[in-house]
Amino acid sequence: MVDLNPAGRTGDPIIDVVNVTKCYEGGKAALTEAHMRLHRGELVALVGPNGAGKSTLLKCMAGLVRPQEGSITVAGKDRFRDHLAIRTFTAYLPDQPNMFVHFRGIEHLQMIGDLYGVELSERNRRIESFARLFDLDEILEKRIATYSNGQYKKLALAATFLTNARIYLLDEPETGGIDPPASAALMQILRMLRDRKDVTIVWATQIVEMAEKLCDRVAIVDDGRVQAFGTMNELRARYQAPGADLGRLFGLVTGKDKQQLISEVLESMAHNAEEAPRRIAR
Amino acid sequence: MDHIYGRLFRLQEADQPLWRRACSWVLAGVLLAACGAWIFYAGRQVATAYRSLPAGVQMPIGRLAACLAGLQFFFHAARFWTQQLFHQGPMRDLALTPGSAAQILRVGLRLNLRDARLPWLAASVLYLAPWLWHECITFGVTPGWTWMLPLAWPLALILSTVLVLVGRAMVEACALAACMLGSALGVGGLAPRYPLLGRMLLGLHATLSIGGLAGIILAVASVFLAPGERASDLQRIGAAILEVAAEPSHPLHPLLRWSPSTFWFDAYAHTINGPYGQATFALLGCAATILAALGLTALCLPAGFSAEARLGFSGVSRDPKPAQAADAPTRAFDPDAENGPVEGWLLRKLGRMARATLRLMTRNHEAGSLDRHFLRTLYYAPVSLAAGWLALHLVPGAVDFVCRIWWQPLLPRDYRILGEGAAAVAILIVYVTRMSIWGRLTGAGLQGPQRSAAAPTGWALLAGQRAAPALSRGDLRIPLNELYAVGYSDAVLLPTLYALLWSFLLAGLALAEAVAVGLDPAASLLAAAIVAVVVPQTVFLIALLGIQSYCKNYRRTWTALILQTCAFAVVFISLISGILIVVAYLVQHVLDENRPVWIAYVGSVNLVLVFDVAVYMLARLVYVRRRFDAELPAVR
Repeated sequence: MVDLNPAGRTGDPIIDVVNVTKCYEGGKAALTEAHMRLHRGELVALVGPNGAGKSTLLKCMAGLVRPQEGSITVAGKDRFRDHLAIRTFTAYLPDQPNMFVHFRGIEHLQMIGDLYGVELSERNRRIESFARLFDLDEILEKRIATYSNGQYKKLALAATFLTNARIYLLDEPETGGIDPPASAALMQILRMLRDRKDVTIVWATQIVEMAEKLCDRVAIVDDGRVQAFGTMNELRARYQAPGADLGRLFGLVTGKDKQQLISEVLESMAHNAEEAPRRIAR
Repeated sequence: MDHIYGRLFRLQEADQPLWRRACSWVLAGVLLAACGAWIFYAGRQVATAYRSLPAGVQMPIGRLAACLAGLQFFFHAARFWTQQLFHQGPMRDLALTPGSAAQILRVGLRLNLRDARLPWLAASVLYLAPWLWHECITFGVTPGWTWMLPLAWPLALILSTVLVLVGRAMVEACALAACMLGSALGVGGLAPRYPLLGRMLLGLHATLSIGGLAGIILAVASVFLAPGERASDLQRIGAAILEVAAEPSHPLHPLLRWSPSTFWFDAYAHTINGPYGQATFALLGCAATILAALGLTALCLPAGFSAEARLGFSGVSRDPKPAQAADAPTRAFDPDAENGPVEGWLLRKLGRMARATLRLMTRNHEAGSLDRHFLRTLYYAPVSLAAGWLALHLVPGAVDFVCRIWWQPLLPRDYRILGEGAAAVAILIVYVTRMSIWGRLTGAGLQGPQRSAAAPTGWALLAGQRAAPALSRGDLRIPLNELYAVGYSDAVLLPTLYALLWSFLLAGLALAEAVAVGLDPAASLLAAAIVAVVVPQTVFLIALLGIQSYCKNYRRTWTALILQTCAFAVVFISLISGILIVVAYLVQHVLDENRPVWIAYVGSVNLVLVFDVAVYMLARLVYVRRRFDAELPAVR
C-alpha cells in the first residue's frame, strides 16, 4: 500500500474543500462555495436530494471535474496540480462505472490491481477474496458484456476495494441492483475500514439509516451547498432536534420535510381508488 | 394478455434439432461465400481494368488510387483511435488511476474483436488476391519459375494477406501517432483546445474524399482523350492531375512519391516482378513509416497520454451535467409544453398516444420537436438553391465529357434536360441528406443525447428507432413499440403519415426553388409530385421492415434468424423489383402511346397503393402470428 503520509495521524486534516464553485457550461451552478474539511480515518456521508451536487462534489475531490473557483487540497497537496501523487492513494467509484465490456471480469480486476501497483500474489489473493465476498467467482471468467446490472456494479465495487487505497470516494455504491448479501458485505467493508482509522471514506448515499449508523460525520448537501456538516449530535444540537434521526434532520436542513405532502398524496390515492371503478363502469 | 410487446419476444433460446442447425450453418456458409465471391470478382474486374490502362500511366493512376484509399483508411483509423484511447468511458475512468501512460496505452490497445474490423481485413485480402495472382502468373512464366504456376492462387492469397497486414499496420500506426501528436499539442485527445478544428477536419475529409475520387476519374478519363480533345476545364484538370502523378520533375510530385500509400503500392507493384531496387526502396519506406509512426507515438506519449490530456480539464462542455444543473431548454413554441402548431394539430387528429411516437421519430423528445423539424427543413433552402444552381451549370458539361469518352452511343441530344434533372435532384438531395452531413459537422463536439438532439434528421424517420447512446452495453436500440404502448398500425402508419406531411413540405419547397433557379416548371412539378409520394413510400417500407426485424424470436438460433432474414429479404426484394418493373412498364407504355404523363403517375400510385396494402396485411399477419407463437407457452 502507498504510504500516504508517514507523519500523519488519525484525525489530521486530509481533504480540504475550500469555497468550491462549479458551474457547468450553460447551466446553473452545481456547487456554490462548498466548504468542508475531512479528517484522516473518518467515514463521512454525503446526503442530499437528487441533483443537489453530491456527485459533482465527489468528482471534484476525485479530480475528474475542475471547479471554477475555490481549491481542493488532499493530504496537503493541490488536487489539480499534484494529480499523479494523489491518485496513487485515492480510489473513486462513480455512480455509473465504466468498464471494458469485452474484458473478462478477472481481467478487469487484474488490470486495476496492476495499475495500482498491487504485488502479484497479493493481487490474486485479493481478487479471490472479493470474488467470494461478492459472489462473483463463477462469472469472473465471463465477458463483462454478459453481466447483469447487479453483477456489473459488484465487479466495480470489487475493483474499487482491490486498490487498497487510503481515500475512497464512493458515489452511491449501494445502488445499481446489487443483491442483499452484496449490500450487507459492502456495509461490513465500510464498517471495517472505518474502524481501521487510517482510511478516509467519503460516501454519497441515499440510505440515511445506514449513513446514520455507520458514519462519523454527515454532510447534508442541497442546492449546491454544504448546508450542514458534523456529527449526528452536533447536527441535532444545531437544529435543536434532540433524538432526531438523519431523515428528520435532512428535512429540517433542506426544508423539504415531505410528511404533509405524503399524507395528501396517500389521501388522494385512496379517493381515486374508490372513484376509478365507478368512472370506468360509466 | 400482456401488452408489453417487447417482452413477449424475449423468450429463452430453445435447443434446435441437429439437422436444422447443420442446414443453417451450411446456408450461412454459402451466404458468406457468396459475399466473398462478389468481393473477389470486383477485385478481378478492377484489376483487369487497371491492366488495360496504357503501361505508362498504370503506376501513376495506381499511386493516386492508393493515396486516396490510404487517406480514407487513415481518417477512419484516426477517428477510431480517438474514440478508443480518449473518448470511451472506461478510458476516462482509468485517468483517475495511478497507471502510467504506457500501462494505460497497453490497456487501450487491447481491442475487442468486433473493433478489429476483421471482416474488412478479409474483404481486402479477397479483393487484392486477383491483383497478386496476376503478378504471380507474370513471374511464373519466366524460365526456372514455372513450378509456381499451379500454386499461383494459394501464393496470391498468402501475399495478399501479407500486403493487407502491412497496409493495415501502416495505417493504424500513422493514425495512432496522429492521435497522440494531436493530444500532445492540445488540439486532439479528450478535450481539444479548438473544437472547431475537429469540424474542419470532417469537412476536409469529405472534400478530399469527393475531390480525390473525382480527380482520379478525371485523370483516368484524360488518358483516353486525343490531344485535340483536351479543351474543357474538366479535361484540363484530369490531365494536370495525371501529370503531377507521372512527372517526377513536377513540383508537387514529391508529395505523392513520398507518401506512405505510395510506398505500399510500390511494394505491391515491384516486389514480385521487379525492378527489385524499387521494391527494396518501397519496402524500406513501409518499414520506415511504421517505425517513424511508432517513434512519434512514443515521443508524444508522456504529454499526449497524460492524465491531464485524458481528463479533459479544459473541456468544460464535455463535463457530465446533472439534471438540475442544466437550465431547462428553451422551447421555441409553447412554453407550457403543449405543442407547436403542427404537433398540436396532429395530436388533435390522432390522439395523445401519437405524441410520443412522433417525437421519437425526430430524435427529440421536447415539446414542439415536430415543428422544429419542419422549421429546420427551411434553414437549408439557401444551400439547396446553391446546389441546384451549381448542378444546372456543371452537370451538362460533365455528362457530355463522360459520354464522349465511354458511352458514345448514349450521347444525349439535349444537355439542358440533364442539367435540369441534376439540379432538381441536387435540390432534393440537400434536403433529404442535409443532416447526415451537416449534423455531423454541427454536432461533432457533442456526445450521445446532445448530439442526437443537435441533429434531428430525416433519416431518423426512416430508421424509426432511437439512436444508440454513446455508452452502451449490449444492443440498446429500442423499437417504437417497446418504448411506448403503441400498436402495430401506429408504429408503421404514424411514421408514414408524418413522412407524408414532411415530404409535402419538402416537395413544395423544392418546387419553389426549382422554379427560382430557372428549371422547367412542368418538369419540376412532376418531380415534386413523384418525391411527395416516394418519400412516404420509402418510410412506410422501412417502418414495416423495422418493426418486423424487432419481432425477434429468441427461441431460434442466430443462424436460423440469419436465414429467416435472408429469406425475408429475397421475398421482399423480389416483390419490390416486381412492382418497379410493372411501374416502369406502365410509364414506358404511356410515353410510347403519347398519353398525358399524369396517367402514368396516377396509375403508378394506384399500383403501389395496392401493393402497400397487401404487404401491410401480410406483414401484420406475420407479426401477429409471431406474437401468438411467443405467447403460447405462457398461456399454457
